[in-house]
Amino acid sequence: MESVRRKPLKVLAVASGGGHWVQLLRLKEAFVGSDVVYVTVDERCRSQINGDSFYVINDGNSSTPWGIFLMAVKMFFLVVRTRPDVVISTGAAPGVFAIYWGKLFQAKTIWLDSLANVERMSLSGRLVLPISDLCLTQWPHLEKPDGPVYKGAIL
Amino acid sequence: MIFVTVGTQRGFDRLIRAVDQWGLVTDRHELFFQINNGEYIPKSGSWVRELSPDEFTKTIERADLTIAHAGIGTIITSLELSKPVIVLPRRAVYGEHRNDHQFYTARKLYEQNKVILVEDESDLDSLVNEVAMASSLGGRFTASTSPTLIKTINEFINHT
Repeated sequence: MESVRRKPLKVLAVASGGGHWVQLLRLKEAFVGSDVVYVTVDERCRSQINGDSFYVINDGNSSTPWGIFLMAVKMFFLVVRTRPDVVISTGAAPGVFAIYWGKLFQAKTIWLDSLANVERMSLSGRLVLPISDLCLTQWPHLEKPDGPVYKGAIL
Repeated sequence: MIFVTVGTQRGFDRLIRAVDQWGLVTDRHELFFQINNGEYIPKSGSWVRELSPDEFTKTIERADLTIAHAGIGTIITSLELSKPVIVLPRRAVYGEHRNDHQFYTARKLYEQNKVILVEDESDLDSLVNEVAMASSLGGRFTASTSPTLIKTINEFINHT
């Protein structure tokens, strides 16, 4: 076994279902050497990660206030329990809470806005822009001096 | 086999109906539909409401071609497997989504040669042509994550 210089960093990687989750998985390579905790909204996604920690929270969006509230509370306790060094999300609502709670506990925060937003940054992205330490867009024309930066896309 | 999918969030009868009617007329291809909570039930092939993420990937892998809403999950999964995908974007005007972001995304990805775009389901003739064309397109479609993006995120994580 290789000697380890320091404890691996803990990365909380959060996405809601469908395209958000698929985009998050395409960042796996960037997490090499870290201790990753994945969070999404569908238990069946567990088989797509290789033995990393995995948690499921309920889904919700702006039209389901109760779901959003529950999601916020659950995400809070998940952040307390896992105490990540870094929080990263590709959206949508669960990622917003993860970034806010992560920030509260002094984690570094990374947002990668979904490819699905070509015209302007997603609502979730605009909500986390002020507090994310690294805010990325996947479309070059959406890069702004005071907004997200473009460093490439996941396809 | 041609896989027709509307994704994880809601039905998309306009797509299912268009492909089904084409399928009934041509009767040449095996069709498999994933229709979510759509009301229109296809008759030209078998169908399910939902697939698990694993089943979904396996179905795209098995299909010669996927015809789908312009969902990013479907598009990336197809590209990862180098499978051609025809997309019909959901439109807000028909109440198929809250806005037209699928349309704009699909246009951009079409310009980048990532997807085949059908803007109007009445373009069935062209859809048929696209299908015929697409069957000879195997391997043309690929997805690769930008190394700069991976490097940026990796370095950002590790310089804590």
